[in-house]
Amino acid sequence: MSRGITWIEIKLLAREPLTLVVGLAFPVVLMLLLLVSFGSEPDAAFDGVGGTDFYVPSYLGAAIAVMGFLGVPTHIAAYRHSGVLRRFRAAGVSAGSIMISQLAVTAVLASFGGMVMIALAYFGFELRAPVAPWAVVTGFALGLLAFSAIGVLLGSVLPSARAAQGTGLLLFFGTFFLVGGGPPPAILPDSLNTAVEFTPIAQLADAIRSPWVGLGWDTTALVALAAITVVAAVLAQWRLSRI
Amino acid sequence: MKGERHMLAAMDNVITVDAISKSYGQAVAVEDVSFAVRRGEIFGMLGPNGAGKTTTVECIQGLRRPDRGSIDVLGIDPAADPDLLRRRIGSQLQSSSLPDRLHVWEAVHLFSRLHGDPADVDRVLDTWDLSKLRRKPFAALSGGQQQRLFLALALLGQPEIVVLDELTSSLDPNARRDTWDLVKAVRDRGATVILVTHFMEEAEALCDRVAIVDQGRVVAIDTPIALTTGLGTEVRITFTSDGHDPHFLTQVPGVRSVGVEAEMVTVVGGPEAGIRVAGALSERGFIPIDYRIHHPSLDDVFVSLTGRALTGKDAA
Repeated sequence: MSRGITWIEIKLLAREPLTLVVGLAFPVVLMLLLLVSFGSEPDAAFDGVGGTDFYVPSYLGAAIAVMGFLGVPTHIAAYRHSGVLRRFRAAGVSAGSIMISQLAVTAVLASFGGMVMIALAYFGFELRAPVAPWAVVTGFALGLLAFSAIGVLLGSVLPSARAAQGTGLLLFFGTFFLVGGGPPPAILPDSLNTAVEFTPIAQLADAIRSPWVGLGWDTTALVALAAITVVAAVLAQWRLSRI
Repeated sequence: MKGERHMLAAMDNVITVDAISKSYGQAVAVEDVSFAVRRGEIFGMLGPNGAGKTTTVECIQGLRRPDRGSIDVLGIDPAADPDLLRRRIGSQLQSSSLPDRLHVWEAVHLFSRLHGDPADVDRVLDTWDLSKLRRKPFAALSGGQQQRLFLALALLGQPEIVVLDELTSSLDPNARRDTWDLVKAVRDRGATVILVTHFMEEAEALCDRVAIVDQGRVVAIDTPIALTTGLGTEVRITFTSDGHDPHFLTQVPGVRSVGVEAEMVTVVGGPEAGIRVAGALSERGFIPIDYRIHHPSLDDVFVSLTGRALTGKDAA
């Protein structure tokens, strides 16, 4: 049952130019700007890592987070508002199937965006291969789970697509630029760096970046993402079954 | 044919609703509602917006659980077994939609898979006259075309019961009449139809029996004819006096009263008065062009049962 709905959702994604621009082009372009500005030489501002090696893993996280905070909630809130969710539910589509479909959509878009980023950075900006590739893949995968669940939860709570868009922009820009998506964390106040550590997006960035630059598996971040997945999915399930 | 169906149906209830109540917080949506729907009929639920019609049919479909009372649909308790019921009940939900960019054929394909009974998409599109629209996105369809698609989806998997909730609310009068034909076609294929509407005219035109619902309660259930004749067989005749004094009409057999208000004459009388008054006027050489005979409608039934107008309350 989830297969039918998942395939349809992926087809519909391909017909949404705005989602493709926001979810795909936007993180790639932003990453390129930073790579051009900071270069790939080891830099104290990034704890001795090159700018490229610092930013590329961050933006792999951004490709996920932009969907989890913006793409998925906007889509689901619009579905809820217009009555698409009601119709799906009456036809027996479970909350689980809806979450799986959004996980698939996020995975397709973020993976494609991620591959484009890696290719551009590798050929244009001397990106080094990840030190622990399987840990990177694990972090990326858990990030997909956590953020697609957050996305469905937000979409099931926020009253309209417009509200979801506003909230999503706030969540994304309010946190991503502070966790390694904008200025080097070394130039930000310590208190701020400590505070943002408690955001889901920081855990996502850590889970991907730490193993990439050689700091090994970030168990804390992985556990945090798994916990977020469970909590968000349970809440979303509860909300969706009441629509 | 219709009589036969009724005799057969009397013994064969497909839905029994027994004293259900449902509240949302403090607001009582449905209170102590009971009725039975017979196999093969078009059963109407008529009432203003907010009367509790939608909540009732959502309980029947297992989408909501009544606080009290019980429901039996084809031997199934919808609250306990919504998945079992889903294959046997088709529905067009009020204010529900499809993704804007979903193509017509994709909707049919998707929903037939959801029913666990993949349909021949081409045949379904053909049946509902949607073949030419197969590659159109949902948002590009007209209101009537969307309703046709919704009906096609509701009928996938040949359900025994079809629930149509405010199917025609968003349509213009022409498209509404076309949709009525489709609803009759649904019944003629053997499905039992529950039609939720706030259009008195729609209930009169389509329904074999009607439950009149107001403020969460069923105030009457019967055939449209029985409901309207229950008010007596009085007719009301109206026309413009155009300077004539109409009071001689009190002498016409069957006429009970004659009133004039701002040039508008209203004559009330038995069913024969409609013809006799016309005859008496034309004998005098007065042929009013706006001569009208008003029979009691379900609207009048609603007013007499609740003291309020059915259609006055909402402009939709």
